[in-house]
Amino acid sequence: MSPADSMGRRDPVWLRALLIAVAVLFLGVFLFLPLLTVFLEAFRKGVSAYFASFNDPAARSAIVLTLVSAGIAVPCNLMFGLFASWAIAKFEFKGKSILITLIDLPFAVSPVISGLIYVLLFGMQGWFGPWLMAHHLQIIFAVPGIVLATVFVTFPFVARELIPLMQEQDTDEEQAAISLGASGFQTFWRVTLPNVKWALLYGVILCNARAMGEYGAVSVVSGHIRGKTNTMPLHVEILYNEYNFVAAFSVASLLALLALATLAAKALLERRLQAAPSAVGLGAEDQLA
Amino acid sequence: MSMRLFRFKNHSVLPGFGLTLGITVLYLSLIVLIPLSALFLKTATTTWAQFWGTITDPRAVASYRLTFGTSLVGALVNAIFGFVVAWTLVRYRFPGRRILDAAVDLPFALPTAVSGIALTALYAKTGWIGRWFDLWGIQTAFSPLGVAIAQTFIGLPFVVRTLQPAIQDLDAGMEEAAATLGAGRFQTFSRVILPFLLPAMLTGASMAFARALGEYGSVVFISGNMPMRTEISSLLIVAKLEQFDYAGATAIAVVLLVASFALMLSINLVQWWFSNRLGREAA
Amino acid sequence: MSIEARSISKTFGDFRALRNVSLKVNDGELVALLGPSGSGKTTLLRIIAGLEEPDPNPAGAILFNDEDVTASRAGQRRVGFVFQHYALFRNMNVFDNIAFGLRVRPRRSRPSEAEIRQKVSELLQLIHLESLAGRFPSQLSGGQRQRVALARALAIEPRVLLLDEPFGALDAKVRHALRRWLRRLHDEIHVTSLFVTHDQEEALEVADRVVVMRDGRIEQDGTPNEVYHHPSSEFVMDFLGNVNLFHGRIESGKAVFGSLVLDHADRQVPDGRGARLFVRPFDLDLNREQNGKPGLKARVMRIQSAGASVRIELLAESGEALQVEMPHSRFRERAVAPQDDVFVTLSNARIFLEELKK
Repeated sequence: MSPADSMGRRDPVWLRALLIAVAVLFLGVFLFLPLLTVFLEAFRKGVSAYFASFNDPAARSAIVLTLVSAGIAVPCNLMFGLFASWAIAKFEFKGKSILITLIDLPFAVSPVISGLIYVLLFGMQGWFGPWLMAHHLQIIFAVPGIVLATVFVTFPFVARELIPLMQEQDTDEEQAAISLGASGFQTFWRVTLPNVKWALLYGVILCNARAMGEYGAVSVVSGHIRGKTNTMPLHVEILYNEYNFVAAFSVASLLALLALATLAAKALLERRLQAAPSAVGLGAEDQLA
Repeated sequence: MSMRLFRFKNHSVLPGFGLTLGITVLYLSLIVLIPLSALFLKTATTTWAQFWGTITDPRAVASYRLTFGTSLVGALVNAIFGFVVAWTLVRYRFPGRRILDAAVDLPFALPTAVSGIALTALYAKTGWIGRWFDLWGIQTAFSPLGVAIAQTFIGLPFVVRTLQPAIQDLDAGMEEAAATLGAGRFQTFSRVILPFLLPAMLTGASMAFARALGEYGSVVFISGNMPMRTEISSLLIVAKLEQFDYAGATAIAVVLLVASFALMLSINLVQWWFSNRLGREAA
Repeated sequence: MSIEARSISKTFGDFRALRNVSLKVNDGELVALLGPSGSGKTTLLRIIAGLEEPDPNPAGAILFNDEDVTASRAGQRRVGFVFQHYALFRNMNVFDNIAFGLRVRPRRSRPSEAEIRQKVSELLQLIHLESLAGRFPSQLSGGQRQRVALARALAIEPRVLLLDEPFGALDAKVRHALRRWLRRLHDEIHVTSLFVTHDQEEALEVADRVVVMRDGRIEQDGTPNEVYHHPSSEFVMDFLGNVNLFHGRIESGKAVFGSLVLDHADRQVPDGRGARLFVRPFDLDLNREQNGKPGLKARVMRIQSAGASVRIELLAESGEALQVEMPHSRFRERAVAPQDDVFVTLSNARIFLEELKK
């Protein structure tokens, strides 16, 4: 019985009932109803119509592109997270807090702006536009642009989870390993990594959820070319704009299931991490975009 | 015991400093810093008059009004109801509490396009909730009200997640002391508990506000995107891009970015100020 | 394997942790670095281990068996380092912790798994923890963890063993037991060992030699007997055991402390020079009557007889608080009680002259 629990009992029953009712109602209206709507609309025309939505080759390629861009963005940001947290947590140097703030920048940038900056760099009128055209390379309105935009918006996720945890842990174990003759890599692999594995997994799951679900940034760079540069969220948009609601919500339901799986994984990992709720709240403090 | 103070992490013992820092800074520059600077450099190439003209254009101003206004409404609604939610989740035990607690993060986990179409379907005239409002002649979807509803959705987790740890930190001793001194439950709440939670509430609401400012996917479907009426600033950026008005898009983007950074800065300042006053970590 | 530190200095920002320190540890010796916090002892240990770098100095060096190892990294020096808080690898069990140093060797010099298993079992027997090989550090007591840390350091067959306050984090009883165990272990395996402690009892009990440090310098370097019975400075005497302190002056070739007048060997000291008298509680005696020896009048304030010896607190005529210790047998003979007036005599004392003010 935590102290908070016993304090809760001091409130009179009627107050508790009222507040709980308000909370449940609020969450019900704002969270559960929209979620429910997705599935209801998806199955509005029956189960066969639901599955028919996935027979569409455009839908299939959207799924593939989503998986590909997440498949590239997540490992890249994972590696970055590992490097950055080692440099930041195990050493002292000037400008460390500036570096940490800079790593957080993508959180403060609106998704549309996240896409805009790459258009400015690689679009036809962008800095590198003419050079790319001359070499028959295309980044904007093509898959590379989508991957880049996805990498940007999910940039800090893994690092955010690892850095505070590794900073809390002191370096005694690493020093012990070094004194026993281990190389830098051996120390990192055998000693440091196992101590942060749950936070790492957590960061990867969040990174992946965002990577697969990103809409705004990808929308700006993709050009919406059906079958070629559409991820699942973009495909949902296209279907919706064509009034093909059932198909739109069917594809959306897959993304909703992914979201639910992410929430479940998060809840399971929460116990493992044994951290205060705020540390586990999907980085609530930092997700400003 | 002896020299713990002076035993900071010395880079001469653990290897890999140069390599890891180098890669970190390189990746950071390539992915984040250089692209972001492109934004500001592009703005620098336009003249001040052009820039000013773009960002004070009536359509742009209308979008600011809408965006800031609805974000503020969303933040306030979340401040109040988010508080209730956080309070009940931390202090009370009831069936389904765990599920509700996990569900609070839904707006984070759900792709914005999905929430966008779901909210629209729900609040449209034919939607489950929309039809009730329609009975009263209130239009929810394709109106500023719809935008505000979407902004509330998107900011929900911020207030709840920043308040939860603060409520858990509430010292039972404080409340009991107030009770022994004769304060009624309501007085204890308004004089002891609320001031204690104020920093967390402010932080959470500000974060919800900041997030709503830049939000695109969840809002763009339900808003209807009518210029001057229901066009949010981020959509204005996209509209300009589609017309290849890079300079215009950049100008609006700079406004939004400056606002976000200023907000982030003030959030940090608020936290710092409160932690100095109260002598402990604010949220 | 002998260890030598030559002209080592270390500064952390504004703080000078070590000031040109030189130390030699002979092969097979067990030496204690003793001193208060901030004396530089842990810093010196870590520099010898290669976990810190000394301030650059052409004359400064660390030598193992006369081989200059100043440039080699911690992993290359083959030192066994035992950390104050053990630093066991949380995610590995006892067996894997001990085996670690062997498993990370480069392919060429790595022993086979079977050899590693053999070696680790031997070490587990040495530390008497065979049955706990599969446990994780979180499942062990403090004393057990310390022994695992030691075994882990020994597994790599280190040339020297360095221990940083090895028993600091344990409770008294475990500390005493482990101290004796360490001494016996050292007698068995004869690895040159250097350990840091702030507990003088520990240093005196365990070590072959005690090096007393203060403010980044070595105050005295000698056997436990030497530093205890023949301290070279006030600091050493005061740090090692309880002490009674008297203030006085030199006059006409004698040291005068109130009514206590003692011969002072050094006739060269001019009159008026300040002096301090240090006496251990066991070197004081008290009597009802003054029987010819130089003594001090004092009143008995408190008697503590619950313990191995009797401790008597007195207030001297001249205002100083005194502590006298004696065996129970002698106390019964003296038969004093609180509020009695007695004469306090001393049998052994050190006089230190006050520093001349420049």
